[in-house]
Amino acid sequence: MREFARLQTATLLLRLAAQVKQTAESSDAEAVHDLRVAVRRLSRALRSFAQFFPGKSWKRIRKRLSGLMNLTAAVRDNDVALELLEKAGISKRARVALAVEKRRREAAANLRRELHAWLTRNFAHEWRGELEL
Amino acid sequence: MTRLHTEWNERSSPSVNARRRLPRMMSEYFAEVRAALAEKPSPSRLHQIRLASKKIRYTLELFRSCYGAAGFEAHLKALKNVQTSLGDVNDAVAASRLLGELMPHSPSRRALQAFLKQRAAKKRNLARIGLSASTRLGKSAGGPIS
Repeated sequence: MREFARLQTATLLLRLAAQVKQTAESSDAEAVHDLRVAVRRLSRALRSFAQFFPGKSWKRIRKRLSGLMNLTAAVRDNDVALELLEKAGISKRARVALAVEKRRREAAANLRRELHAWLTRNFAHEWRGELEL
Repeated sequence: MTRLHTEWNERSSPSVNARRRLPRMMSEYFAEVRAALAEKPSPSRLHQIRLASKKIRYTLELFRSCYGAAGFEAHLKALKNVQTSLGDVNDAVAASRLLGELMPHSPSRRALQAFLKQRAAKKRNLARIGLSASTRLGKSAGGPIS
C-alpha cells in the first residue's frame, strides 16, 4: 500500500510539474484550468495518503498548493466573467469587458511570476525529497 | 460533510484497502446528498456538496487501477456531471459578484445581473437532477462501489 501511495503521488507530482511549466509559458484559460486540476489531484493524494509521508511534509506542501490555487483563482474568475459576458451578448469592446480583461492580464502576470519562481527552485525535485518519493 | 480521510492498512494491498474503505466513504457521501436534496438545499449547501463531490471523485480516481468495472467509471462520470453543474452555479454567482464591483449601477448592470441569476437558477435545477440521478446510481446494485 505504501508503494502504491508513493507511486500515485509521484505520478501526480510529475503531472503538476509539467503543467506548471506549460502555464508559465502560456497562461491561457485552458492551461490555467488544467493547472488547477493538477493541483487539486496532487493535494487530494497528499491528504488521502498522509500517513505514508514523513512528518508534516504533506501539510506544508498542501499549504503551498493552496497559495497557488488562490493565484489561479484570480485568473479563472476573470475568465469565467469574460465567458459569461459573451454569453450575455456583451461586446468584447464594452467598458466592463475591457476592465475584466485588464484584471485578467494582471492576475495572469502574478501567476506566471510565481510559476517561474517554482520552476527556478525546482519544486518537484524538492518535494520528492521531502515526501521521500 | 463526508469524512474523506481514512487510515489505510499498510499490510493490505491497495485493492483490499479500496474495497474496505471506499464503499463506506461513498455511502456516507450519498446519504448526505440525499439528506440535502430532501430539504431543498440552499446555494451554500450546494456549494458544500460541490466541494465534497470534487474531493470524493479525486479520491476514487486514486484507486482507478484497482477497479476495472464499467460501474466504477459510471460513478466517476456521474460525479463529474454533478460537479460541472454545481460549478456552473458557482461561476454565475462569482461572476455576478465580480461584475458588480466593476460596473456602476445602471440598467445594463441590472440586465446582466438578472441574466446571471437566471442562469444560476437553471444550473441549480440541473445539478439537483444530476444529484438525484447519482444517488440512484449509488443505491443500485447493493451499493456504490463494491
